[in-house]
Amino acid sequence: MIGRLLIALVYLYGGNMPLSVDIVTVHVSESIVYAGESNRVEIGVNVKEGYHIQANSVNDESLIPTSLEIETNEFLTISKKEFPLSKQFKLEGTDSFLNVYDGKFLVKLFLDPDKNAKEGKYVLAARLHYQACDSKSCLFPRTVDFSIPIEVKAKKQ
Amino acid sequence: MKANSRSMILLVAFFASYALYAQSEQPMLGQIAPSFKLPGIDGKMYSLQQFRGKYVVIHFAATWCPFCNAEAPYLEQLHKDYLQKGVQVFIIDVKESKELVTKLSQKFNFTFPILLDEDGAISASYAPEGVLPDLPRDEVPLASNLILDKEGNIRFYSLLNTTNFDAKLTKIKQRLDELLSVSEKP
Repeated sequence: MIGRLLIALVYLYGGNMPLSVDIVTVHVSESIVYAGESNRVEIGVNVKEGYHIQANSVNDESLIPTSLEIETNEFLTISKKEFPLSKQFKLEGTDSFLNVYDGKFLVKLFLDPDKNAKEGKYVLAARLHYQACDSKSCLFPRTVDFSIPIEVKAKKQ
Repeated sequence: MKANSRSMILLVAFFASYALYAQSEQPMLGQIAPSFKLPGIDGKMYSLQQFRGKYVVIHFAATWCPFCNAEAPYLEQLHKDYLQKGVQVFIIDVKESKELVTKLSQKFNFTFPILLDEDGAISASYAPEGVLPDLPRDEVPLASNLILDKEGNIRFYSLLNTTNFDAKLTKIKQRLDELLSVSEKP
């Protein structure tokens, strides 16, 4: 009986737990890419349960879309960033829907090392910009800094 | 065993009272609202002091905030409906440029003052102590609505993390009506 009561109370209390600022985490494994080819690299993004972030393509220009910024160089360039399809989130009490991401999703990068890129390990600095909300409140825009480890190998024969 | 049960009851009572408090109580009620002097996007300076003698509705907003934008048309309507009843509505935009805020204000055709809290200091002064302790204080009041009475006391504070989103401003209008009906009585 007390156990059940405790669970119910923890649930009630949990609804008012302080918001953690780390709403989004990013996971990247080292990718092997080949010089002179277009290679796919995946960025794993995890949005904390109960929250969503605005999608890369928003339906209202005042919203802040999720975006990915990567520091490339003359030998390592990105030809395309592919974000997943968004979900629809209905704003309670309105007829408005927002394009959002929640849970886990992947951003695909097409990384094109120059044919003359030297073999070896590289690290690209990257930043994911997002603006998160839950069903009751919104947080100010935030940025996650992370690294993309790359190993460049000679073109496959 | 008895001591364990007693501790358990105390723990349960603590959680229960905290949960009920957090869900039902609006923060800072009865307190004097923090004073401020802020520039409006119209180039004028506005101070809270100049609105003494009127009921004041404050909405904390940012241009990118979906909750704020969803209630924007209803806030303009509230301003029109209550202006003649001695209610002054304004928005305090938090940490954004005049250019950006002006652009959004034009989209919604706001006819009440939009004030710029560019460093977030005023917003931070309205963050209730102990609420959302992980967040920077200037972010806490975002999308909240307040009513101040004629003496500048806080009489309504819908902090979004503790109340459900009310785009049509039903609860604030209800509270305004209550306050106005009391102040109209001889």
